[in-house]
Amino acid sequence: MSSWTTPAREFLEERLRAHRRRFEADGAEADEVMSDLREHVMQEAAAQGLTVVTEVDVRRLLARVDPMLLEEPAVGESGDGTGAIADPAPPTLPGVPPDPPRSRLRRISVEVLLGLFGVLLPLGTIGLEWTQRLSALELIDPIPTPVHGILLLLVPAVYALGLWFRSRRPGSAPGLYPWLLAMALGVSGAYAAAFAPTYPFALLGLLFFGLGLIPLTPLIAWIVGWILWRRARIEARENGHPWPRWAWVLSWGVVAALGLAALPGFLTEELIRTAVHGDSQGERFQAVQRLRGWGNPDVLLRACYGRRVAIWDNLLNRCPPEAEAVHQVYFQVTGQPFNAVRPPLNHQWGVGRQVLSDFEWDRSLGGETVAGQVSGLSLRSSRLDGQVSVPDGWEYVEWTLEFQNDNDSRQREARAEIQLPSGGVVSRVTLWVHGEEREAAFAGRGETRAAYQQVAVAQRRDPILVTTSGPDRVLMQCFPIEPRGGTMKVRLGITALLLPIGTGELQCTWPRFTERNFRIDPALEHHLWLEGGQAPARVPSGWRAEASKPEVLRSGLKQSRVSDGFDPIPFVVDSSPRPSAWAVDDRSTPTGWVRQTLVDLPASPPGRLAIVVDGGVDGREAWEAIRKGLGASTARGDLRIYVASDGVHRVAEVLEGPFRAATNQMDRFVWNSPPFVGGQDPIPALEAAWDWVTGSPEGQVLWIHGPVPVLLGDTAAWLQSMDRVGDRRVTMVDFEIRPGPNLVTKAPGARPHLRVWPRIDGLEADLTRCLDQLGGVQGGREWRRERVVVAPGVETRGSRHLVRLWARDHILDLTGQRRVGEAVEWAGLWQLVTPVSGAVVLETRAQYAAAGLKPVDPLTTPQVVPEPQSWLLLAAGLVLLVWGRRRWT
Amino acid sequence: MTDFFDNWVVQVRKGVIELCILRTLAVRERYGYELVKELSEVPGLGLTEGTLYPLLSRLRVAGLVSTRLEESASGPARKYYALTPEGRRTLKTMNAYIETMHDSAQKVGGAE
Repeated sequence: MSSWTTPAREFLEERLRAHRRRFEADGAEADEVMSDLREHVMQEAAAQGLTVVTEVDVRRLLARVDPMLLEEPAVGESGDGTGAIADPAPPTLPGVPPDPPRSRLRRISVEVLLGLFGVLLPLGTIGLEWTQRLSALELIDPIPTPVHGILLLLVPAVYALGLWFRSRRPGSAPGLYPWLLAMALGVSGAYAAAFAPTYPFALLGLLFFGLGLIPLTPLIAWIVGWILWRRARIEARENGHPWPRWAWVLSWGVVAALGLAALPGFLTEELIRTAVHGDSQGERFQAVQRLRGWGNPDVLLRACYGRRVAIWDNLLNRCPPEAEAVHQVYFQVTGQPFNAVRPPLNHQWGVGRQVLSDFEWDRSLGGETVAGQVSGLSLRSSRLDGQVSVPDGWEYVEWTLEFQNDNDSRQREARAEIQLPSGGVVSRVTLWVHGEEREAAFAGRGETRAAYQQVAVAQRRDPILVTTSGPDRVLMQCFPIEPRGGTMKVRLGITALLLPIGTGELQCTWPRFTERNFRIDPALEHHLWLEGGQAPARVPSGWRAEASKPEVLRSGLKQSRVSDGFDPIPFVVDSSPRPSAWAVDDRSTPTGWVRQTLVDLPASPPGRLAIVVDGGVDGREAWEAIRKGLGASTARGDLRIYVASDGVHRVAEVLEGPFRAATNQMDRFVWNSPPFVGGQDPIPALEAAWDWVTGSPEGQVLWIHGPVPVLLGDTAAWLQSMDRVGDRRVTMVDFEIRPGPNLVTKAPGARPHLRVWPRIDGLEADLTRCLDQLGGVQGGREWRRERVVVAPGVETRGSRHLVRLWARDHILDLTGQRRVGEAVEWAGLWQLVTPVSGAVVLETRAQYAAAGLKPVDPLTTPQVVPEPQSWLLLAAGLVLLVWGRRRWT
Repeated sequence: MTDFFDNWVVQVRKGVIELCILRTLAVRERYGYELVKELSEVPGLGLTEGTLYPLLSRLRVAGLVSTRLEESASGPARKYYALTPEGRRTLKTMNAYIETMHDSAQKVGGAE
C-alpha cells in the first residue's frame, strides 16, 4: 500500500487538469479519463512497491504513462493553460483529491497503527514500569534517574507531535522537529539495544502465550521512529524545507550518552563476576582493584542482596555470583561490611521505592550470622540499668531492648552481635511474653540453638537465643516480631569486671552493638542508669548525678552520640589495702569460696612485639596514631611492624633498640606504596607475625584492625601455629579501631591466646596506653580469682557475681582441656552464656519439655534493682488497698 | 522527411489503435491497466496510457465499449471494458475495411 504525499497528489491533479481540454477535444469524457489516469498511476506506484509516493515519483510515473502530461498543453487546449476555461470543481476537497475509499482506509490504518505502537504502547509501558517496576526488578532499571524518565517520555511525545502535524498538513512540522525526532530515535534505539537479549524470550512468549510485548516496546518504538523519520525527511524535501544534515549525529549521540551512563553499572557487574569467578587469583585480585577504582557502589551493594542485572546472563547462559561471595568482594572493595550501610532500594528513583530486602525472605533467619539489615525493623527503645561494686570489682548491667517491626507483611528476626564489657558474661536473659517476664533456660550451645530453631523457624512462636560470638561477644536473636508495628522486648543481664586503669581507677564499661540487622534512629535515646556504692571520679558529659544520691548517675544519650559506644564511668579505687573480696559458691558440690583480688602487673621488658596493622581503609586513621605512640614511647626491644595490604608488608624492624626508631621506616613505607584501601585479609600478616614472636618466650602480637566481616583466606595454618605454641606465653592482643564483626577471633583455636584490648577512650589515647603496656613502659593491674573449698575464715558476703566471673574462667579452662561436658554443667549451674552454652527463652512449658530444657528459677537470676514500673505497681497496689479498706469500713 | 513521416505515423496509428483496442476486447473483457500492459507490448503501436484512456472514453461515449466496476482483492475497484454488440458489429466492419485497404495498398504500385 502506497502513501501519497500532498505535493504528489497536487501535482498529479494539476497535470490532469492541465490536459482536460485535450481529453475533451479527443471526444472523451474528461472526468472519466482523468479518473482512469489517476487510478492507473496509483496502480503503477503500488506495482513498483512505493510505500511513500512523492512528487518526484509522480513525475517519473507520468513520464512513463504519458510524457505529454508533463508538458504544457497547446494554448486553447487547456483551461489552465489559457485561463479561458475554468476547471470544474474537483471531486471532493478543493486542491486535494480524495483517496479512493480503500486507499484512504489503508492510509488511516497506517496512521492508527503508528499512533498505537509509537505513542500508546510506549506510554503504557513507561506507566507500567513507573508503577510496577517489572524490568527494574528482573532485568534492568529503565528509569534509574529523572533524566531517563524525561528522555523516555520524549519518545511518545515526539511521535504524537509528528502524527499530529501530519494530520493537519504533511510537511508542516517546525524546524525543531527533526532534532526532537533524532533524540527520540536515539532513546528508543538505546533501549532497544539494552533489551535485545530479551527478544527471543519475548517473541516466544508472544507467539505461544500472547504475552511479551513490553520488552519489545523499545524495538517497536524505534521502528515507528524510523518510519516517521523517513517520511518527515521526504516531506521536508518536497516542501522545500531544509532537513538538518547532522540530525542523525544527535541520534547516535543520545545512544552513546545513554550507553556511557549505563557503562559503569555494566562494568561493575562484570568485574564482580570476575572477582568471584575469575580463573586465577591474579585475575580476581585485578578485578577487585578495578572495582576499588571505579566500581559502582550501588550496583555492588545490590549484588550483596542478590539483586543484579541478569539480562545478559540469560543470553550467555552464565550463573550469577552468589550473594555470599559478593559480600567478600564488597568488603575487599569498600573496607566495610555490606550490612553496615543501609540496604539499597529496589530502584533508585520514582514511585514504589522500597528497601530491597522487602522482596526477599530473610535467608539468615535462625542462622549464626547477623547478615544484612532488614527493612521495617528498628530498635524502639533501649534502656541500660547498671550496678557496680567498686571494692569487689564487678559490675552488672541489664540491657533492655524493645524492637519494632513496621514491615507490612513479613515477620522479622532481630539479630545483633554485642560486645560485652571486658571479661563479661551474659548471666541473665529475659523475654516478655504477653507482658510477662520469662527467664531463659541455660544449656549446651547446640541444644539451645536447636530449640530456638524449632520454635522460631518451624513453629513461629516467641523465642530468644543468646550464644557467644567470639571473645567477649554474644549473638542475640529473637523471632518473630510481627509485622505492622509488632514489638518484642528482651533483656540481657551481663556480669563483668570493672576495668583497672592505671593504679587508682576502675572503670565501668558498657555493652555495645558491633553488628545488627535493624535500624536505630539517630534520635533514639538510650536511657542509662547506674548505681555504685560511691560517687564516680568524674561525671562524663551527658550524665548527671542525682542530687540526693551522688552515687546514682542517669543519662539519656541519643544514638547519634553513641555510635561508637557509651562513655565508661570512672571510679577511684582505694588501693590500700588491695581490693579483695570473697563470695560463696553454694551451687556446686562441695561448697566453695571464690576470692577476687586486684593484683599489680609490673612493667617488664617484653619479648618480641609484632604490630600488625590493617591495610584497609580503617588502618589509615590508626597509622598516624601508632606513629605518634611509638614516636613518644621510651620502650626498647625487638619490634616489627607488618601491614596487611594485599599480602604481607614488613614495614619496620627494630632489634634491641628504641621503638621510636620504627617511625622513619613507617614513613618510608607509606611514601613508597600508600596502602589503606578497601578491606584486607589479615591472616598472612598475622601468620608471619606469629611465627616471628614465637621465637621469644613471651612474644606478643598486637593486631590493630577494623571490622573483619568475612574471611578472605585460609586460617588453618595460622590456627595450627597457635595450637602448637607449646608452653610459651605468647599472646595476641586484639585492638579494634572501630566496632564491627570479627570472624578471625571467632575461631575457637585462637581463644586461649587472645586478649581483647578494651576501647574506652579515643583511638590515640587507647593506642598509646596499649603500646606503653605492651612495650613494658607501664605496668598494670588485673583481677585474679581463685576458688577454695576450705572456709576462708573471713567475711564472705561478696556478691555471687564474683562466682559467676570465676565460673566463666573455669568453663573456658575446661573447654581448653576439651572437658566440654563439665563445662556445660558449670554453665547451667551458674546460668552463663559461654562458648559451650547458650540461653534460650521459649514461650510455653510444652516447648521447654519438647526441647528437654528447663527455664531457670527467677529467684536465682541476678538483678539490679526493681524496675521503676515495679515500684509504680507496688505503690499503686498499696494505694488501692488503703482506699479499698476505707470504703469497706 | 522525418516530420512528414512522424505526422503520417500519428494519423495511421490513431485509427489502428482503436482497431487494436476493439480486437483485444473482442477476445475477452479487460480492465484498463491490463489492456494498457497488453497493447503497450505490441510493436509499432507506441501506445501509452495517456493515449489509451481518452480513446477508451471516446469508444464508450460512442457506445462501442461498455464499462463495469469490480472489487479487487489487491487494490481499488477495477474498471473493466468490454465490447458492446454495436462494438462487435463495428469491429467486423472495421476488420473488413482494413483488410480491403491493406490488400489495395499492396496492389497499388509495388512494395519496395
